[in-house]
Amino acid sequence: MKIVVCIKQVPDTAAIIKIKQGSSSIETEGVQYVLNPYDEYAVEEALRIKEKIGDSEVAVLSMGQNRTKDAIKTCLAMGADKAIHLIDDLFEGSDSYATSLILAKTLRDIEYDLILCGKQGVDDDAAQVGPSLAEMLNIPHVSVITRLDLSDDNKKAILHREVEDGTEIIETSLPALFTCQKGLNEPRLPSLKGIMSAKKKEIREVNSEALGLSREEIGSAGSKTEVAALSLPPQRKGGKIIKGEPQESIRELVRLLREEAKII
Amino acid sequence: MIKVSSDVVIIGGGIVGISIAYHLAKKGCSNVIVLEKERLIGSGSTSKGAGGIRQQFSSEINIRLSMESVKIFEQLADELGCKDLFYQNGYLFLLSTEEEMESFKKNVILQRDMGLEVDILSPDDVKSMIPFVNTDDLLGATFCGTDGYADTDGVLQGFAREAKRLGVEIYLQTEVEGIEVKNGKVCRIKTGRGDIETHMLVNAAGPYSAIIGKMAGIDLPVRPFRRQIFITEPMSFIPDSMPMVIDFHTRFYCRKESGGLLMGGGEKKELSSFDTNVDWDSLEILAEKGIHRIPAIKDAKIKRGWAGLYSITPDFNPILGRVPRVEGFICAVGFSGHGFMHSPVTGKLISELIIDGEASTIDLSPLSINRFEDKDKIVPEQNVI
Ligand SMILES: Cc1cc2nc3c(=O)[nH]c(=O)nc-3n(C[C@H](O)[C@H](O)[C@H](O)COP(=O)(O)OP(=O)(O)OC[C@H]3O[C@@H](n4cnc5c(N)ncnc54)[C@H](O)[C@@H]3O)c2cc1C
Repeated sequence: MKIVVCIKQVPDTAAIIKIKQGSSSIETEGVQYVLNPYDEYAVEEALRIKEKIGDSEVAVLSMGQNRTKDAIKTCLAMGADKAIHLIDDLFEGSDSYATSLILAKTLRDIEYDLILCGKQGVDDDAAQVGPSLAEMLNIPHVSVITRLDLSDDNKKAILHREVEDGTEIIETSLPALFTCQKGLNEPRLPSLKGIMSAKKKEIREVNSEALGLSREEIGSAGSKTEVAALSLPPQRKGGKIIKGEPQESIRELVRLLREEAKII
Repeated sequence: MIKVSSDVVIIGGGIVGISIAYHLAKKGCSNVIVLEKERLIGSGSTSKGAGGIRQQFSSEINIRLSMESVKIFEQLADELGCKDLFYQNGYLFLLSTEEEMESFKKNVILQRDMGLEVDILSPDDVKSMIPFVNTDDLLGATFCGTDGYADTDGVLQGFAREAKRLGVEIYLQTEVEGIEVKNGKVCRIKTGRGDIETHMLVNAAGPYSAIIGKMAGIDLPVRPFRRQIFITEPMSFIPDSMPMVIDFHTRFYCRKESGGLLMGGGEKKELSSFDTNVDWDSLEILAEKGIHRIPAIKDAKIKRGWAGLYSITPDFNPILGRVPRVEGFICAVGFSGHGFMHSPVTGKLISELIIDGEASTIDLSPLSINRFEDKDKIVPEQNVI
């Protein structure tokens, strides 16, 4: 089975984000970048399928600047077989739509049975690229999956996704695209040996010209959306400790939840 | 509101600034303010270190700084009223070439002259000490059992707690933006939260210390360089007693941490920068060197990694003490990867300098900034990781 995993490098969730003065982008100095946590589930699932059914190949696909190589290498060290790095200054500024288009163009020339993505990038939390990519490729997609089983002939997949009050179980033919949610698996960590073997794996660089994409189709010119402004969430206020006898303090708690927090 | 004046203002709430604050307060000077730009003390290099503490250096001044610091580390738990923070498991330097053997033997003579107990070991001795080390290409090793490592955050928080109890103020998220010098004297520190009048400033800004120097018109030869650490998942074969192991030839080092190994060193040569992203190339290099020295770690999983900054001077020794031409400007900078182990004695020395007018525990003249005036006279430290 040929599996493609689309991954993204994102600012570490622990990073303290500062917004660039008077702009709609963030201060990148001092920010650490990591493999998008939801993409780890996608990589792990691909590797598990390969280990289970054998005779498979896991290819990683990522668009990003030079530093994105580190995220790609993390996947190769986990056990992915090869990678394509979409790198071009013209790609910069692409929104979810333009990104999906670039990925779709790339996948047109690649054989695949299964495409896995994280359910969303933790940087912009858009959750768009997976589904729009599937639409552009004209293949089925199921988002936010927490379980993936293949039929005996590996031609179909059965997916679980958590919905309110239950689990939705969906069957689909392959090729298809799924976006992965926490709970799907426990991603492995790269081992030292894995890191060494990743050195020898192929990372093919592809630019806009190779994909036959023009300047107008990609980057901010090709984007359908525009970030108007960025602002930080309001600072969290300190907690409140309600002292006193349980009976009274609970009454006070209920009053505060009702009158101050207005949540009950 | 922050105070508008203070006897001493320390710039930088890393281990060096906090140790200086503590030692000043302990010695009776507690009208002290520490200014830290980040949200937490220790956010800079201090939280990125390996916690290593060693006395095995090539130069007398570094051996002296370490031996005095070890004395303080040994009774720190008592002094700060906390649990033991110092693991004296020793430092084992593995040596692979005749040249390394020669220079380390020379160092051992100096170290023993100064009263340090250091052993020269054969590859077989190494094998019996740590059976999982590959000794095939080793010629020998040196070992000092009073070296070791300590809990960096424990020491930092301990110093900070005591300093505050004695009256020191630590202002977080307070960035120094300028320094006013009048008639050759420090008179005012400008911060994002207001000005503070003072005639005594200590520059303990770690990798940023050259920027602080510039604010007062002083050129400090201290440059930031990225260094990284990786932690493996627990591995059953690592004993608690494992010393810090330094493969001197490749600069790969490791010690036990949370059941696994903390590993660092042996990175690629880089230009000076403030970049603290983990660099994959260095991880590859480290993996190769690590597996060579300890083959059993090849299946070890990397749990996490981080990058921090060394503050490096031309001779890898710190710059401690006053500077010419600007009165009231004191440096405690450029620790070149040894700032944690040298922080206790630095606190003591700078407090002596400020309160008594002169440092008495150790003569500071070899660490004066003046040494860089005559480039030919600089003697670099050889044992740098
Ligand atoms: C990977 C790695 C491993 C290491 N291993 C060891 C080891 O084993 N043993 C050892 O002894 N040392 C080790 N070190 C070195 C050690 O961590 C440093 O020497 C030590 O932490 C320096 O402390 P510091 O207080 O001078 O600097 P820092 O901890 O960097 O503190 C300086 C502080 O100044 C603040 N600051 C800067 N500019 C301003 C401003 N304008 N206004 C206000 N605040 C400001 C910063 O935010 C920072 O918190 C290691 C370092 C690294 C990176």
